[in-house]
Amino acid sequence: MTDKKKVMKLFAGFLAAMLIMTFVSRAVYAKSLPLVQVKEAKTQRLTRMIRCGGTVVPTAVKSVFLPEGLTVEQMYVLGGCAVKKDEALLMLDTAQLKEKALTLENEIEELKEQSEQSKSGTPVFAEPDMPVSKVNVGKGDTVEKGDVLFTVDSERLLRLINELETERNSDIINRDGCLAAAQKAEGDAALEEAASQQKVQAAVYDCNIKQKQHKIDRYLAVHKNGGRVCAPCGGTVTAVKISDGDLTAESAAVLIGERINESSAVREKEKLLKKYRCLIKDGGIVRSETDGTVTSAPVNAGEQTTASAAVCIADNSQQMYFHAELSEEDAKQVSAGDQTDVVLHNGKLKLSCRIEAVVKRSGTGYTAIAPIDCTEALCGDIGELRIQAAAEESSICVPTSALFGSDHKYLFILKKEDGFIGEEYRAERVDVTAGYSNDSMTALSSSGLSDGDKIICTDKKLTDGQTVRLSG
Amino acid sequence: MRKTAEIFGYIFCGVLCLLICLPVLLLMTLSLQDETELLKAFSPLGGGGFSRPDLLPLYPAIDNYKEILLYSPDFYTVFWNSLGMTAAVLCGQLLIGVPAAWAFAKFRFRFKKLLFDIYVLLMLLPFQVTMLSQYILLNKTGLMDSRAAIILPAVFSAFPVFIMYRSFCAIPKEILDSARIDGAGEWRILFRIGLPMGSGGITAAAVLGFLDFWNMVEQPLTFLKDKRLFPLSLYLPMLGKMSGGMLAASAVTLIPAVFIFVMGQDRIESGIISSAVKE
Repeated sequence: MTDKKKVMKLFAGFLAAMLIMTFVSRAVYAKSLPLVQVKEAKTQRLTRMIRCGGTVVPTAVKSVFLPEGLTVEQMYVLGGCAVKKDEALLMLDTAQLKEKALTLENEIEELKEQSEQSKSGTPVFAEPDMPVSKVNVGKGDTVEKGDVLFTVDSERLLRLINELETERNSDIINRDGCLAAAQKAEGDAALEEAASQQKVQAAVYDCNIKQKQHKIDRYLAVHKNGGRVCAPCGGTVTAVKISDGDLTAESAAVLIGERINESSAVREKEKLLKKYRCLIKDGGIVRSETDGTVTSAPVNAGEQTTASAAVCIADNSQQMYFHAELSEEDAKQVSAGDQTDVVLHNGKLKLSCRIEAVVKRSGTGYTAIAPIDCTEALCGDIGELRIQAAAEESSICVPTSALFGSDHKYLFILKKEDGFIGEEYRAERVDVTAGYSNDSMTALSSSGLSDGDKIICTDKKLTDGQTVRLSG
Repeated sequence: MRKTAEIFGYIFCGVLCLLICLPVLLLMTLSLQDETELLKAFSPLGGGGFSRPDLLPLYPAIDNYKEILLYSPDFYTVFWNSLGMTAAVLCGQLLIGVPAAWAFAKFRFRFKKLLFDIYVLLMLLPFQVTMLSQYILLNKTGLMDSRAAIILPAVFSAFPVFIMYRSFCAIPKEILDSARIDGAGEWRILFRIGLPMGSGGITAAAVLGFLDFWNMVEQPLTFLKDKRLFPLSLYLPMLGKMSGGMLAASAVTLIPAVFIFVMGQDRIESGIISSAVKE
């Protein structure tokens, strides 16, 4: 009987333990289940807000160019500064300016002197006694090097050449005769004086021969060129001293002066000098020519000016544009004419406008350009372009947070089942193809889902068929 | 010679006993083996081979018990379902069966013999024979897929009446007559004399009934669809063939039956013996 009581007590203890374990196991089980939230899938035309950053850019930018090599003593502005007309931008080294101006003045003087000297022109001489058959240029004509100035009569020139050759040959004979006589008289002391006279005479003949030969060569060169006398350099014909039928003289036949535009160098230098003087007068200060915003000021104090602009100033009085950078994906949703909002000054300024153009950038992506009509928007202001874009058609949409996978997207839908401890919820995996999406929702281009399907949203890793617990 | 026969008899009984206990021993040892060992032991069965389980676990583990007792609230649901339904059936059987058996044993009335024969006949009919009629009746009364569909038909079972009838028959008529002379009513005689003196049969009926309904399969399989109402007998196969969890759950399932059997062991013997005595 005692044993039976013991057994009964044990049995009661067993049942009590089972009762306690019933609650414990439920608690442990509930704790082990992933807690998930559920949202319904629904068919809708998804819209999304495209947000892209950008800056306000001006239509007109005035660049301040300064002569190269000037030292900047002080910079008064930086990129982004708003400047008024005549406001000081930078100060140049006045001592250097004065020095440069002086150098420039000297250079101009030199140039002017050279110009005066060359006013008479370069003389073009022809061999004297050449018969001119035709003059090809007139006073004031511009000629290039090699241009034909005048032509001599070839037949008469040939006759002249023949005559000169005859004279030369005669001189050669005479010279040779003198040289032979001198050679004979060299051994005899009494004839020594006569021999030296013969030698002098032979030298005279030799000089004549050379002159004539030179002349013949020149004439032959002209004859070979068809009798044409060409310009030795380019320039403007300042004087023509021969005419058709004349014989050329010892003096210059044609004078060629410097080109008229060669004096522009002087003018440039004078202009530069004027600028220097203005700057010296203003104490070396460079001022803004317009109201605007400094877009770039690449020169720093102590540096020297270069050929590029020292300061660029955007003209605020002109039309402003907002340039927003769009990604390839976003650009597909945006087109010219779309209504958009431009938000500036940390959201304090909201402007409605239309996109004027979407252009491809040099790298990747696109730029959306929208004109801004607002005096408060200044060049260089950073802002955000907001465009409401919509999907092409309605489709099943699910929360973006419910999608898993990178290449192959999938999600879990909630399935209610009758379990041993009541209604149980299981996660059933469904492979999907994601399409258009916004911040919170994604449209599915292919899925077996329908309206009202319960989509599991969780950051926990689930497996197909896993039991889950609903939160809330 | 007689001694030798006795020894052989013991050996035969011992071997037989071992054979009978072998499934329980296997269950206990296998439930302490981990999944790897179980897979190794039972995988040849899938290929048409023979299983060679280790009788002693190589690395004894209580993971199977932990899984069932700590992480499977389902098990407790079906455990309490089984216990609740069995208790309800036993209570009903005693409530209905004790007066019925007492009446058959101690009262004389018309068609008593015929009615008792019908009772015995019903007892002999297997469940499969009465299943259809029970199904139709339960369906018409809207009791399908409820605990009542299991409890009500079992409450009116003929077997406990038969067991208790024999036990009550063994009570001497003179004792009852003397009680009547002393002014005791029929209900008082039943409660004061019948129940104490027939407790052997009642306990035997209760213990046998517990073992029967603790392990019932056909009735819940036929009448229940809602998993929340399932008893252990339907839950265990769902844990998978030869899974560690199933073995551990089976071992735990044995415990109440063992307790009940131990508690009512002596009464079962006397009750069965008394029911076996020919009138």
